[in-house]
Amino acid sequence: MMEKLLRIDMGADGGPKATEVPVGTYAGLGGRALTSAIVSNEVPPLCHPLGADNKLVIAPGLLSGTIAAMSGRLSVGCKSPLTGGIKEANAGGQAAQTLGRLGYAAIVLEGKPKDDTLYKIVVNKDGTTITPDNSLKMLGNYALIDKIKGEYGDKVACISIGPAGEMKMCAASIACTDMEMRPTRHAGRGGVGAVMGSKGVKVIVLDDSGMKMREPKNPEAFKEANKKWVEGLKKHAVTGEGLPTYGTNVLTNVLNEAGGYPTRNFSSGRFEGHDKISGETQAALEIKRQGSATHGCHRGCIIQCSGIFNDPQGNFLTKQPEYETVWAHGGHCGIDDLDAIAMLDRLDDDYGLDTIEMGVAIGVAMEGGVAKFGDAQAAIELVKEVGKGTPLGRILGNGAAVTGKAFGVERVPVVKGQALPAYDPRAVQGIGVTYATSTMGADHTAGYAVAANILNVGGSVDPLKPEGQIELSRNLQIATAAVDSTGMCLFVAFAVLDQPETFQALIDMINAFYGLNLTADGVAELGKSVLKNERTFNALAGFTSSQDRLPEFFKNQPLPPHNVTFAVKDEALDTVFNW
Amino acid sequence: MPKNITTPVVEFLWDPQKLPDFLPLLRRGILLKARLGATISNVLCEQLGIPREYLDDRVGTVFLDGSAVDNVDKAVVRDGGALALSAAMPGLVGATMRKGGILASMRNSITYREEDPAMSGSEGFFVLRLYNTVAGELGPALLRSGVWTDGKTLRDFLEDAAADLRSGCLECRLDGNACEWTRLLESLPAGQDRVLMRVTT
Repeated sequence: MMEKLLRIDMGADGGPKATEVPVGTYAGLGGRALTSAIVSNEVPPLCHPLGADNKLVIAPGLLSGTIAAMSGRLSVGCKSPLTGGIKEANAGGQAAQTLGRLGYAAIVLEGKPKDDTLYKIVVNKDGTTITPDNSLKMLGNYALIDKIKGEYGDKVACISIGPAGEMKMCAASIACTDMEMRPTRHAGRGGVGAVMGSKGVKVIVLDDSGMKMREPKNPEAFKEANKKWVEGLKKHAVTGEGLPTYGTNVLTNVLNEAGGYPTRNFSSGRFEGHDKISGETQAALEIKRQGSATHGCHRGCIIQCSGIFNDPQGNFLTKQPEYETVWAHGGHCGIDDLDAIAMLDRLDDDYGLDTIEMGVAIGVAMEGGVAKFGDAQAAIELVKEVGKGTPLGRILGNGAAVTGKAFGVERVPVVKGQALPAYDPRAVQGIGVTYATSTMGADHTAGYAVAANILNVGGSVDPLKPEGQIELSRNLQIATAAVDSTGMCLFVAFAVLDQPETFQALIDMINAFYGLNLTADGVAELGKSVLKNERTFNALAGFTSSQDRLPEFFKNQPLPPHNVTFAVKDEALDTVFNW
Repeated sequence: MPKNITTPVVEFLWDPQKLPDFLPLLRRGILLKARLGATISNVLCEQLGIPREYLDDRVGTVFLDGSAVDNVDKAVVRDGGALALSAAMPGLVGATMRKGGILASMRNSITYREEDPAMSGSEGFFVLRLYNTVAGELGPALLRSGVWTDGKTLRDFLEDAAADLRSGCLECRLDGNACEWTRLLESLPAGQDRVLMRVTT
């Protein structure tokens, strides 16, 4: 069982010190529920995000490390240097399963080293070692993982930062290795990599050799529930067919058709080059080059929404860039070249950067005259500037908001300092409500498609009234917070949305594993408690309703082709968390 | 005197393994002839022969002239209109786009609203765009029965992927006569003039 926390004080007298402590009052929490509980309880809301008082919490989900399908999501929480509020970013890869099998509910990095020594942390069945290793300084994630592989073999899982994290950039991500031990899965949002950099930790090596799969309290019931869970995911058209065939980038053509595909820094809802970078085109190209259009990011994944993107010579370049990445580096910048976008994805992964924040920052820079929209080579050179840490690179690497200020751009698509994802809120106003009010800053995963009617967390919704969108956003944010706490990939939401029996199978798995009697209402309460923790932290950090707003241009610049503006009133936004 | 213009007819005999080569053309859009002023379900099911169960179960997302459609029995396809069909989409926004979905209110500002449901019944052309799995499932039958496209679109499509496409082409005919690939490209009308195309395997 995951009954202990691994607390590592990086600023301890005599050097970093690891201590195992019982999980205590955090028992029963996993993933985002645990990271947000620790951050809101233990981090002073007014602390500097890069200071000793901030904590970086790395938590697998409640079912990570078990045989439950799709349970490999890792949550990373802290006070965000990008937003100034609480942050939970999550990633796939092998780390969550490995950490779960090692028996830890979370690793908590605390304090701050007294100098700029860089450390490597190794966790295995025998305990934790923390070693200074300045030979790792400024290594890209790929070179770093090659070095680790040479020392520890290819069966370990790694959590690491690239140069962007070491330079404490606000767009810095934390990488997790995938099944092939490549650093392709990133907790991207909010600058979590900068916080890991501020702790002086380059890489955490997780070695679960000698450890067994976690055992449920009721093995038969757990096995039966997992069987129904897998059947539900496999029979659903999205999780069983659409995602495995095309990946998330299947959305490109459809969002473009809807006129909600943000193009050239949110100046239009349609991009003429959409099909060249669509999921359909991408999948065909991957197959033609002997890569793959159907691939999982961790063992136990049955949706397989990822893929392998090879270069024209057939050599591995990067994992299949997902929809958000293809949009941020593609349509948002007017770029319709999949090879260029894949190269940008590779560079982002290597330097350790959030692909959304970087793509949006480059698009804002293009509007500011730094490069021309559509110039793919210029975009690649700009990301390389970030990797080198030049003055221009440091502006871009600190995100879209900083970039907009540096280059005098009015149209800067951020909320709470975080770049908007790939859906224009003028076309999809309901997601605009979530962008505006999420505790995380603009976040497309904050209010996911887990049905309000299944969770019964807010009554009926009148689709003809603006209040209906408020209510939906509220319910979806509650449900998402709950799913994020299980460690389940958020893509399970599609099957849960349509198939109540699949949602019940998820609850049954948790109950069988922990010996609980959780109900749908209990799941909703868990989601609410997560959001309450996060809202309280943000309020104490100085956030008011004025931060729960979209940028002004969404209200006064109509979006072609529908020529619509964001019409949800501020007073309505302020009611989202009235439950 | 108006010129007597006849629509060129292009016929391909294609390697069945390589029929997916035509999917990009289906995404760009093909023209279909139908009695318009009719509902989407009437046009697709009663006129084009697509099974109603398929429309209900497999086509999760429908756009008419760029607006998300909730009810295929009420939205009316008009002459020159553009209809797009897709499977159910992932993600929160994918779910909001679904026809008749419980999250449809989240995209109210781009939802299709029928203002004049009157049926005219006159024959005309509409654009059909097919995406993702729907293209693979509906495309072959439509291509076999014949679709229209303008000369420029077809020429651009054939030229863009010439090397890949040619390997799948077993035979091509123009107006009933066997025709070399290069001569076919040269013979296609320029601009918006229509071509009727059939692809058999």
